[in-house]
Amino acid sequence: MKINFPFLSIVLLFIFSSCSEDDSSNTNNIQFVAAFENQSVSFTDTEDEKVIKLVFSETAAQNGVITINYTENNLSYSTDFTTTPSAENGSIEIAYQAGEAETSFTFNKLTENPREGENEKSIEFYITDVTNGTTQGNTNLLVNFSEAASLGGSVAPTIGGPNEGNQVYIDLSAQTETIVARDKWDLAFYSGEEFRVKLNNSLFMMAAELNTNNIDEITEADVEDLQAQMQLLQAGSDVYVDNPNGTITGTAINEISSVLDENKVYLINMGNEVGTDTPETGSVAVAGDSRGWKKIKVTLENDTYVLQYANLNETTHQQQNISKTPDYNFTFFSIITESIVDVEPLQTKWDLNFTVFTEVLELNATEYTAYGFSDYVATNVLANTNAYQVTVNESINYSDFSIEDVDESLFELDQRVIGSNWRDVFNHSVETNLFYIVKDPEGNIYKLRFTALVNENGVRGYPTFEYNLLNL
Amino acid sequence: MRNTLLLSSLILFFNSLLAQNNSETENDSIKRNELEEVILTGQYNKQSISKSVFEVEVLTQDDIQRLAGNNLADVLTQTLNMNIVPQAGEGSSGIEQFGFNSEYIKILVDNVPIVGDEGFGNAIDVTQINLDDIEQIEIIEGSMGVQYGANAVTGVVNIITKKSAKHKWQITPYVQEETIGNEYSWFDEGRHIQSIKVGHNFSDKLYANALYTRNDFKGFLNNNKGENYYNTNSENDSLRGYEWLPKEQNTFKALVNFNNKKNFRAFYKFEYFTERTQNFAENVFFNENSSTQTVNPSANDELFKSTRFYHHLNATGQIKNKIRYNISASYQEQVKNYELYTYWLHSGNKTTIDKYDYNTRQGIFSRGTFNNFFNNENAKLEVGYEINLDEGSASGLASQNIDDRTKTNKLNTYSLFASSELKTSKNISLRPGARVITSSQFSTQYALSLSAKFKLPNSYQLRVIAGSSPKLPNFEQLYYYLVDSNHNVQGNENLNTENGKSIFVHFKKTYWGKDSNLKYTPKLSTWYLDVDDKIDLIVESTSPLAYKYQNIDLYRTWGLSFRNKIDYKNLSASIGVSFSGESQVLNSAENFNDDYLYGFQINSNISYQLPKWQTTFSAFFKYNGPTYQFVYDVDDPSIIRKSKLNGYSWLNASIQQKLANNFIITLGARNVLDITRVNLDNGQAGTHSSSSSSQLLGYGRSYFLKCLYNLNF
Repeated sequence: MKINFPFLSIVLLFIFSSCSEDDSSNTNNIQFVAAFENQSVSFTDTEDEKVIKLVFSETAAQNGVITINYTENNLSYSTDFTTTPSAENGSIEIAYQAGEAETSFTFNKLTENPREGENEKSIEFYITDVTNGTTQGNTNLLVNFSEAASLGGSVAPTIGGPNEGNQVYIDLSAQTETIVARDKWDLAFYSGEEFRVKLNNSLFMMAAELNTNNIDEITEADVEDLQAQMQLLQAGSDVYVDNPNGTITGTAINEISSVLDENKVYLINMGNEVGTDTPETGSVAVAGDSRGWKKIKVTLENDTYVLQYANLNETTHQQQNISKTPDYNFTFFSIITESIVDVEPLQTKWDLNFTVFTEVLELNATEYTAYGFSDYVATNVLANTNAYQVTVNESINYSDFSIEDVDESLFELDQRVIGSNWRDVFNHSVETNLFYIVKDPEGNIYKLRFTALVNENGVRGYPTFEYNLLNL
Repeated sequence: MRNTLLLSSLILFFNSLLAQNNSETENDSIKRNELEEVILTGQYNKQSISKSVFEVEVLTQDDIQRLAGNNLADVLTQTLNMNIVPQAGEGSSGIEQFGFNSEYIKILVDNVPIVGDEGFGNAIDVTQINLDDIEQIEIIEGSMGVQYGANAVTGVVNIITKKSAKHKWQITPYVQEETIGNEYSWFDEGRHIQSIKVGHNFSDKLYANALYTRNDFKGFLNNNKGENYYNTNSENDSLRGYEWLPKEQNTFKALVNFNNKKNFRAFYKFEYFTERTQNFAENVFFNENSSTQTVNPSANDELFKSTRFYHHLNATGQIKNKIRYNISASYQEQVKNYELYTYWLHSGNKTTIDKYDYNTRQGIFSRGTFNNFFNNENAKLEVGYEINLDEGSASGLASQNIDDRTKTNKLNTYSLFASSELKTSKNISLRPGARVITSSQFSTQYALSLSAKFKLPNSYQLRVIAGSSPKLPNFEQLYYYLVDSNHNVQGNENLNTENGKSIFVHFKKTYWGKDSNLKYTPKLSTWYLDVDDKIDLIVESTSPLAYKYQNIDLYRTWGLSFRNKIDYKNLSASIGVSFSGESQVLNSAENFNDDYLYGFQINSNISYQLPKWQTTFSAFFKYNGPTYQFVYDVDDPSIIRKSKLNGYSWLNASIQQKLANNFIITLGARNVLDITRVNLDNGQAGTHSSSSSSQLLGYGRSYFLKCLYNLNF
């Protein structure tokens, strides 16, 4: 037996073809970028120190320094303000370490905001150098010694991950968020002219009028048929929820009458607890166990709401007087904790509410149903926050959109303008061809686009958006 | 790991060269009748195909070689009434037979069901079944519950492995290089197979072999752009990743066979198999940084790792020259591990998000058959038992709560079966059979069969074969759970088995030419097969809307086929035509149409040997005619439309050349007609909904070169 050429060649081929290249070296050669997190910072009279954040395009691969210069406008270093680290010869050097994704410096305000009629006081910082990198985007930062409206920025509302346990109120002009656990309240009593009661639709609550004034005579046996109807994805269940457009006259509970006997008892589906399960990556688990059923009745006494409430089978009830709260949309009450609770910021101090939401959908050609949505964004229609949706085309895109492009006739007073339109659930992403124009209660007009539905690991409940002031 | 294995095989190889043992012992092997194929499936003992009561189709080792088949998916595409349906997005392929999915066909290796990710004998990913140690593949159509128990509804594929060799040493290394469509490169594209097999006769009674094969399928990009791609306009375009997932398989098998040449034979077979499949998410998360106006894209990528262990111990023999026994015991397990990780496209960093065993399967199997109680050729009886202890888990059952996503299930079944072969006259043999299946979960099931073989005048043969087999519900049907404020879809732990039954009639004759050079066998077959109590999702309540699985539907199919085989000198050819109809009685639906929808298939293969040059030319052709299905209108479910999957053909061709006696080169092409996607028209024409989509069936015309060396001494 001899070893011949074909055999040797097959052995060689064997060895050679079983090799494989294991390291998939990356072809994307990416430059390191640093910028200010926001375009502007405003100081109220009482504030005297703010941390100015600088963010990176990705985690720094090596140590480095960001050099910042500034232009003063009726202000001067040492007299009116200082920074930490301090400026040397008109420039500030901020060191960062490898592995960091952001850095910052502190701005100390030493003098007061200008009075009415006095000259505007501001300072503009600008990045002049980044070690082994560059700057783009927010290369400049305007610091105002006044309560000027924010020029814009990016926001990641804390809605609480895949259980979406929070309602988050966003004030664009102040760039603030107010976070409220969405099961903190059950009923909201309108503070405006009318006497209206709103349900917490983030918990999928529903209300049905019963044919009695006596809250104590209702038991479960009286309402069994109604209970089957008061469900999500049930034909006709749309009549048991507040009008999703947000008009105060569209509440499921009729206007509270000053005539005592005109106010009926309502059966309340308390909806679902905030979910606690961990879903698969990319899914939500917003709805937990059922919160059961209650019965309520609301009447008026000297322009104050009087709420009666009880568990369904009880023959006695609790009673609570609830007054309107001026400068707020509503007074909020929790039947669970039996107390008045703080929820919304001042009426004009929020524009958007990130929340789970009860919407009304067509079930088929003739019937409608209530349906639960996650990742919903409602506008503050009761404070006249107007909005409209823009679809990107060849001539319109977000970055070039300016105040001249705003079409006042398109503004709508409907809290669903943004709604869930902005998200693409199937692809776990945003609808990149849509953006929004929002006019806040103070008349600031912002353009706004969503940048993420999920976080970098694909987990739901981490939306982000960016916005820019148009009427500068 | 890979290199160690390679090294040890090489060391083994060179050691064997040094040994220089030239004693060429002629040893026992299955003496294959040159004219008559010998089969095992459904038989009491190994016997020739013409004596079998069942109709068995055989794919020989030569067929497999000429197709350069490395796994079962490579070769079954040519079989009539059967389709290989790829799940390109998962990297797996299942067998569809008579329109039923892979849960209804049983895959056996040496008569023992093989474990897979999702089943024990059924729902097998046929790309995971390596063919490098195969004697032949036997295929039976029809319900075979008496012989093979539950889930043998539409048929059985039995893979018979080689258990002997003629030479004292037999060393067979081969490499196979393949393009995937038009994609090929030495490292990162194409399909690369390396294999080495070593067989040794320790004595005339003891034979052992071992083989190692690596199958590195680099995936099919088609229009996609791989792992590191993202759209720089920050808009997902679904082009990331692969159209056909890349995967790498390693198979290690070993066999020890003992044969005392009198009345006892035993073998032990072992297999260790691993598979690694990667799925790159088609969309990325851009992670826009509005401040720096940059993106830092990441993606939810997935890694699937399957591992299989297979042990099979078999003993056959005869007690006192009378009772023949055949006892198998097998332990098998397969685990599919799932890892979800975040891949950062800029840095190449990976962070694991989730890692767990997605599917696990452990099976203990034993079957024993006993026959030849009377030594009477006219009245044979076989009795047997089968024990099947099947424990498994499946995930993905509750997307809203990961604590509930995995369910385990244990299903122990114990069967007793008996059948008899009676020659009532010289020309008629009957074979009645029955099986009782008791299980830990379902009510007692029965499988029955009755087959008859008639020898008619002029050597016509008529076979009538009736059988039944229950089909067990799958994990999703038992345990799926999606209940939240907007949905209510639930599995049903109280489901019972589905019931399949079939009747086949085969009529055939073999014609011989005058000089015995010509052999022509036509065969006409017709059949009816149905599955009753078929499980489907029904609306259990409309207020509120809730769905649940129930035993409710009836699927049925009938058909005709005409198969022909011709051998003339160095030419052998076959052509078959099959025409079949399927009907579904969907009691689960509000409205349905149970008309039969018909389709047809043609298969043909031809091979010609040039003995002088030791060259074989072969071509394999299969035409799958258009197939139809009833679908509900997207806008108005009360309207039922007919969808149509266009017809398509598979054509494979190869040239096999023997060089220097022991060196065999096979050069060929798969999918010569370049099929990738086949149009699926959903009949919605005229409405605003899109009226057609396509189904991915192949990865286009691919070329292969296989170099195999037989070192025998």
